[in-house]
Amino acid sequence: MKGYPPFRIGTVMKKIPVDKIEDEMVLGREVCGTGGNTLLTKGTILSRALGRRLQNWGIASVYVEGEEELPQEESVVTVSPEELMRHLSEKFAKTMNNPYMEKILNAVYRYRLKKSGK
Amino acid sequence: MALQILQTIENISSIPTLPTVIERLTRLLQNPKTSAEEVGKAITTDQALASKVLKLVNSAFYGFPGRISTITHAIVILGFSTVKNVVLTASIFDIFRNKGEGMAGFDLEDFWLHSIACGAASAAIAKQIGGLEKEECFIAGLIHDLGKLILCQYLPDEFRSALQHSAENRQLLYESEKKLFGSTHAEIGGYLTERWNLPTNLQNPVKYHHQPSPAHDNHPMTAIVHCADILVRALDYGNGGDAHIPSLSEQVGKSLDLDSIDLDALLDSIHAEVEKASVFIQWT
Repeated sequence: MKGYPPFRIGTVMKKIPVDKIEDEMVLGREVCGTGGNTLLTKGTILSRALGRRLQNWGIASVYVEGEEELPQEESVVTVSPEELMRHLSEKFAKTMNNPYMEKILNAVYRYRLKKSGK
Repeated sequence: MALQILQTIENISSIPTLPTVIERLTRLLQNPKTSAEEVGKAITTDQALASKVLKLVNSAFYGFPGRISTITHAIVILGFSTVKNVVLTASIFDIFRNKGEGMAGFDLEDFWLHSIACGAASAAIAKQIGGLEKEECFIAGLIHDLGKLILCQYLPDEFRSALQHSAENRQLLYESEKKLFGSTHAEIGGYLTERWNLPTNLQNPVKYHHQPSPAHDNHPMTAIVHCADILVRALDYGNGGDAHIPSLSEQVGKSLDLDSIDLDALLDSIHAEVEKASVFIQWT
């Protein structure tokens, strides 16, 4: 990602889920993490790749410049507790005789459920 | 390391090198009489690097957003050692970003996310247990899988077959590498860090992150990276090329005193460190 466009006045913005980010879209508002840190500054030129990274970082939606075209929707990642446990059990499959790994699995399960608001 | 792979890598003339400024800095920092101005001058001989360093020290990652205007100012506020770590971090991103392409089963964006998160998690663990420099742990975590980039770029056929073998046989990637060509990304990355003359506390976590042992020097830092790798895999931050999670070495569990660590608090702190490290996602 290179460069920032010059100043813009009276920008029209729309809110889109990060998986709808397209190359060359311009970020209308800065993106902050849950701790309040600035992840991306206003004016950043976005790309699909960056959208995927934001998704990995747990960001659901962003404001981009442009007229409202898409319905405003919150992209909330919904994973049921059962699905999450299945996913983790699969990943940890070869480690379960290790008491430390059992402790880690349980902590990660609790943490990820807490993060997804369940 | 299996001889054939080592020879192949040794004979590749385009294997990346670190900028000379790193060596100059190491020499300067060994001299207790070195001044902030001298170090600043050494860094600013490479203007592109200096501007990246300033961008980094002004990010939330180092905790002084937008307040440091010169390299000398950065050294006074952050100290020699931290600034050297910043220069090293900026150089590593410089060397590898936008270089080469991934391949099926090895997406470079996912790889970098995994590496950055492993660095951030290493820093969070170091903070929680105390005694080690946080920024150095970040670098150790960041570079732990560098060998995979070398394999992907210079030995793509071997690496492709290891990725495939790992997926088909549900093995960890380093196990497949060892089986197919007798060497692992950890050994290859370790070789690169030796060639770069990095200090052993950065070499050893790269070499031994899959087989940590208190018999090796710098075991605490290796133990941290070994544990961080496991935690970020469990949290699904990025992907280093295989879907499973290695088992935590019991010796590492003991040396980090994992039984008495509040894992819930540690995971929160990892998340916070990963967010701060997101300044790097724009660089990869």
